[in-house]
Amino acid sequence: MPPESTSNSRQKTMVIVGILALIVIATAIALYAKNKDEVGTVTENPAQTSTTTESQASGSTVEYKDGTYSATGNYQTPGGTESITVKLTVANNVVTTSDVTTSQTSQEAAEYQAQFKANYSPFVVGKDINDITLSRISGSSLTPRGFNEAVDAIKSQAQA
Amino acid sequence: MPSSPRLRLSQPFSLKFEAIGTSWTIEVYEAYDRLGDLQKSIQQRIAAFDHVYSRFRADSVVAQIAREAGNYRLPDDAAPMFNLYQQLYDLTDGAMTPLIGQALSDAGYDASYSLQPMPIRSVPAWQEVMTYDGATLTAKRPVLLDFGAAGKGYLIDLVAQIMVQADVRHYSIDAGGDIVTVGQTLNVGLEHPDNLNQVIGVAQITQGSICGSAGNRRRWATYHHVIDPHSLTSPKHIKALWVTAPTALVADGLATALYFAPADSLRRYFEFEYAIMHEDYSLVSSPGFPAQFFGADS
Repeated sequence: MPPESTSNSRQKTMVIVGILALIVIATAIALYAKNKDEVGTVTENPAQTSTTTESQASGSTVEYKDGTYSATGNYQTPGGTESITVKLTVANNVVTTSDVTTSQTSQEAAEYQAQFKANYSPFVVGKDINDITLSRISGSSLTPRGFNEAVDAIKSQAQA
Repeated sequence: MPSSPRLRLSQPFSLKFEAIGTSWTIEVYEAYDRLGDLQKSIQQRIAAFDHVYSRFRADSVVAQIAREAGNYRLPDDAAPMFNLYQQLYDLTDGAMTPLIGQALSDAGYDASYSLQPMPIRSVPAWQEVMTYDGATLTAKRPVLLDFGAAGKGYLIDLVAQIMVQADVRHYSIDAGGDIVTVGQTLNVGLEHPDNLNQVIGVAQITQGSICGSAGNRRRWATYHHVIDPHSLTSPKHIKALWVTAPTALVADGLATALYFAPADSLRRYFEFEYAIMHEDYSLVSSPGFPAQFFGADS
């Protein structure tokens, strides 16, 4: 990997953190909208967002309400405040499109954001296995029964 | 799926069983009248492999090497797997190593699945503790080996050899999502690591192997099935990845090596295609990876 100056990599990291936070926010809005029956738009400073999503692998599906969700985040650069907007469209419980738009005030920010979009697109999204004809599934290897029983035992011990 | 003109059975013959800690499905897509013998040969082959390489049974050769230093004459099938491990060990600066067995066990992924993390002992360098000359393994001290990274893929190849010897021409072998298919196109869903009801794409494989790796199963405490011997932690930068290659040995081995080495450096030595889903859900795949992914434009 080519060496990068600290400020470059810090700015790159900030952009990545910003976009990740926006995805979290957009997902949160989708969940919120499911309950509240509305579609929302939110503007937040991702640097102050402490939400994290740690999805548990499980057979259950989270229900999302159809709609388009967007979130805009701002971050500080030496050249001033920059913003990125992430837009997700959800239909039938599946993210059908996702898009990242950027607005830059400085040439440098434009370059970094273009670089980000080039390197981090596409974000993949899931489709329901019931809607697709598949012969097989590949992912992490199915676990032996003993392993799953051990995990269950530890979980119940933790609750006791 | 279009059916092959050779396909004479309305349903493929399907053999399902559990072995080496995962679920197997073997399908034969042609009329074949010695299925009973075939099934027996397959299960004997798997049992023989497990008896040598499993670190989960006390009577295996691997368990014996963990108890005693010495010279161990290994079966002829050991060489291709050891050679691949040696090559990937070198290409990953020692990160992919069969010597990870003790670290996995210390972390809790032990023979009794205790899943109770203990302090992990440091992982020794290959040349310090063992040599393999193509037939005999010399352990300079007791070492706990783990062939989880490439062993299953290799066993799939060995089962495929049984199919060839039995004159079966159209078949697929699926061991917990690591797959070889010969002469039959499979649409292989690429499982979403966060949601087992979803796939992020579909790969189409007609000949050869696809193997996957993800941290969503075999996960406990802060670990999953891959541990970096240098940091003694499980890598988090990759959520899931898939590799296609002519053999399952190579596909499976690379599915672990890609946690530790850039794809471009490995592609100088191996013929393979890959797709990597990073922790931010971004996807990077080689141009020839035979799949359609669901993303912003689909």
